[in-house]
Amino acid sequence: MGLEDLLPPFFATKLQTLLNWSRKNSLWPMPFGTACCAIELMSTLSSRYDLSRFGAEVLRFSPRQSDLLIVGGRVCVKMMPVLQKIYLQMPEPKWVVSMGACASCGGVFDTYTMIQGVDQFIPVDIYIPGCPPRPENVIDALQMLQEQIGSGKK
Amino acid sequence: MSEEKKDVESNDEKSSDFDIDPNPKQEWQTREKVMAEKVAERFELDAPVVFRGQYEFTVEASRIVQILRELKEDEEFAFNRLTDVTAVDYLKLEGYEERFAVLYFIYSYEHKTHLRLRVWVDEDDPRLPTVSGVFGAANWGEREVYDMFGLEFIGHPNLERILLPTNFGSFPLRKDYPLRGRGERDDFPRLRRGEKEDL
Repeated sequence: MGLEDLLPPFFATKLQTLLNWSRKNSLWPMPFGTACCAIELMSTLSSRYDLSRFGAEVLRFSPRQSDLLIVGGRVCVKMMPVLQKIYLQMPEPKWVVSMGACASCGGVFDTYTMIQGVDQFIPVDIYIPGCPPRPENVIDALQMLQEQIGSGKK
Repeated sequence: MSEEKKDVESNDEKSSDFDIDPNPKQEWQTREKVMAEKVAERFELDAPVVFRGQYEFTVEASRIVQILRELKEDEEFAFNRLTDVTAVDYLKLEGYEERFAVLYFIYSYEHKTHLRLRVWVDEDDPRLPTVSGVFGAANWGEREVYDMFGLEFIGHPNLERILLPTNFGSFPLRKDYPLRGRGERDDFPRLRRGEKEDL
């Protein structure tokens, strides 16, 4: 194409910038879907909204192979130890998205067995409001997270 | 239009099943009544509570296993399905014998009749015999009653919590248990960023 002649055969950057750039564009989400948010997450991943356009298409149900934990749905007292174990099993660096009202604050389920926000017990990077959130909200959250990863804040 | 509306209203009144005729006209109501009379006679039970054509007998806890076994195995009754085992907490409600009641819902495929048995359970000694030896379906039902109400079923093969985590300390369907719990939902270790897995 002739473009190669115009560009220098190398470019200079910082190693950390390169790492962040590659990390932010190859997120491997691990869905922790326990309720209707997971349905909306599936919609986000499928052809109409197509999350893979933003570099996060490889969904892994194995925490050892993923670096983005998406908690979508109600987390109950019996599920919280499982969620913590999954969080610990994920390799560093890792990020957590709390998707929807229930995961973020318990939603309307203010009862004895519902965790009132997973951020009480695991670190959360991005919260998505909504019940359930629209796929656009999920994409927006992913891009916010990518921005933060790219700038080295997270 | 107005005539049509009137027709609909009158139909609604007819189809309401809140007032069941004490002298049943429909076939299923007769069936239930005949069966209830037979059961009462056989086991010398007190008069049943009748609601919407359904019959409920109160039984002493010491007799429940034997009565259920006979109701199941005797061909005259053939109540071969235990639909549900559940319990009610009548805390501070007046007019009831004890605080707890355990209810057994049984059904006969052969005679197409339902029956409900009620056992009162004392608050201070919440124990009663298991019927899981008669109906296998009672196994999980009784575990659920234990999980939610803390009633102990003597002789149950595996009386553990079935829905809640095993270390959950309370019985949440008791009426004196607060809706938001007693701090069970806040009782977890707080993980920090960069925390390593404990292998």
